[in-house]
Amino acid sequence: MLLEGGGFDLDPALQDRYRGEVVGRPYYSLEATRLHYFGGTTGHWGGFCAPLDPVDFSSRSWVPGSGWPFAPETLEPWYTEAATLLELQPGGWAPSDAEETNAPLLPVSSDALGHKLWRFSPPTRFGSRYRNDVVRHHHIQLLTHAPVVSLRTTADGTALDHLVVRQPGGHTVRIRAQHFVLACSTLQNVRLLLSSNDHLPAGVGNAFDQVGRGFMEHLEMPVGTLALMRPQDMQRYAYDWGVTRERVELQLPVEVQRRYGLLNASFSLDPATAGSALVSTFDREPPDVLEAYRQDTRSGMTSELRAAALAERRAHDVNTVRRSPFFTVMTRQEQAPNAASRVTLSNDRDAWGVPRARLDWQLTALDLHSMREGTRALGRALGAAGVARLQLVDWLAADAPAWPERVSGGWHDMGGTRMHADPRKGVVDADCRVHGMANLWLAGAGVFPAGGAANPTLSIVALALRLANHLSATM
Amino acid sequence: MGPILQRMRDRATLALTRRALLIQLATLVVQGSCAPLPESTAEWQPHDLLRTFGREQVVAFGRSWLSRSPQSRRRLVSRLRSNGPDVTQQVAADFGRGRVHLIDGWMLSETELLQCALVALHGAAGAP
Ligand SMILES: Cc1cc2nc3c(=O)[nH]c(=O)nc-3n(C[C@H](O)[C@H](O)[C@H](O)COP(=O)(O)OP(=O)(O)OC[C@H]3O[C@@H](n4cnc5c(N)ncnc54)[C@H](O)[C@@H]3O)c2cc1C
Repeated sequence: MLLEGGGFDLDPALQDRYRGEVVGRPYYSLEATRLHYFGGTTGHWGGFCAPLDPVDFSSRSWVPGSGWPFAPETLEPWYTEAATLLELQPGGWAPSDAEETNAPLLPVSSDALGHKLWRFSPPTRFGSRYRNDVVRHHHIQLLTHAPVVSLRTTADGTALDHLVVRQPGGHTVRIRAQHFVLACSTLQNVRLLLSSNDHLPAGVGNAFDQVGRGFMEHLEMPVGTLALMRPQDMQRYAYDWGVTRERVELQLPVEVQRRYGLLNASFSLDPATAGSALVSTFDREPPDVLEAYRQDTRSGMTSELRAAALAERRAHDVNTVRRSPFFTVMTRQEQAPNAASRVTLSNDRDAWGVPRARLDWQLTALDLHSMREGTRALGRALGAAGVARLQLVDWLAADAPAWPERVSGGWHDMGGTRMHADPRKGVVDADCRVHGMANLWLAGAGVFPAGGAANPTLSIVALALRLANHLSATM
Repeated sequence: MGPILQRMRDRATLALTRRALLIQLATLVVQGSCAPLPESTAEWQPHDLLRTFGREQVVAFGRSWLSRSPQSRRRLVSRLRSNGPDVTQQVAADFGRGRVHLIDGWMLSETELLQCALVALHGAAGAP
């Protein structure tokens, strides 16, 4: 049985359930980032995909709290299947696995700088793309407008007994099952776990005060302007919305990350156009832009949109670069795991009486160090290769390390229900089962113990497929 | 271009920093207008920087460097000479060893800043 809190289209009254408080570092409005309807937030996601890098799974001495409880190979088969569901180009994830490899890569020393392959989903809108598959599936019973408002445990608090679901008329019903998977997105999962405290005063899975801790984002910030020293075909670095299926970005090798004590990051290069100041994601795309994007692409890319995008495709060849050798550099940096960055419950409640989420997003000195030193390492590597010079944005060039007023993320809420073998350090085990609960599993980026430099959805889907396989084997 | 395409293009195509924009505009105007340097300094011209940024910006880099570290032309040339004949290699080595300075946010190597300073001194003199 699949319980969906929303309907098949967005309803502002239901979406209001996602409203919440932001008490730490400024963040995006919570009711605008996640979507409460069938298909969820893929209704306006951008489709940028890459798997986590092997280093993201390792326990790094310079990144406290890093490491996943399994090796990268564990997810490999599921990544392949997830890529199919997300309608990505098939193939491995080395830059040489890209379909188009004719254009050259920047001639940089591989010791100092590497490349990371990204693939782009159309973007797949799960709500429209898979609606019929779900509705017609013989083994799936879908209930829409069936928001779970509480999890009820057995009296001894070691298993879930039933869910309380609010019906449209206001009545509640109980749903019993043998196995439960909570897949409501990071903040909503935390909300439900913390507010379900009938037999467990601290909430479900929260015996060691772990639920809600370790909230992470990808720090997506423009970090500078790059000037190419020689004209170079930049086709493989380019991204044109709706057209590009693959591109490469720059990445500092693990050895460099280790040497300078850096978090993982991926740097994209985009042709710079004359205009206003560099802006980061949250400022560039306020909620009304996201809503227009959702509306325009609600059935995925229509053939008209694709044709228009193709017609507008830009050249990224040597001649274009000769005319303007300037590129903006955008970083997507992992956020250091940080217990103080957390989601708790607000005193305010939604229309159904469930406490709202309160987000206290916090960054650490390591995040800032990494942003400053990582960008400088990038500039040095490009300079040493004779490829380019890099101009840092003011706040990175300043002598005293400090964040700018607004730090943007990628709308990638991760952590809060971290995966760790030790219940004192995480909420779920390596199989995504909530510690101390015999029959409750979590899906979503909330379980990520470390977020890497890759956007999360490919990994979310891979983990969900792995979990489905695990459950079908145990049931 | 439709509104959604325009929005998505804006999403991918970030604007330049204002300073980089000025450089870009200036580059278009000044490229190819380099007056020759005196013979003793001509061999030290920062060709890559001149090609990419234009002379005006290279002079600005040089002036900025000289204001931090005032030096005569003779001293600049002797420092460049002492680094060996292959200036490209020297610049690469600077970046590799972290001999890098920030001028208006640009990460530039010490060697190329000496070169820019020479261009700036030449510019200030107005003639060889
Ligand atoms: C603007 C934007 C751009 C993005 N771009 C990218 C990108 O390019 N690449 C990338 O990898 N990721 C991107 N993301 C992130 C991506 O959208 C999310 O990682 C992904 O959708 C999360 O999946 P999820 O299933 O965990 O949560 P969701 O997609 O939010 O799904 C949660 C589901 O649970 C339902 N639900 C919630 N509460 C309840 C309840 N109480 N009872 C019953 N049902 C409930 C919701 O209605 C929804 O159907 C982007 C996000 C945004 C906002």
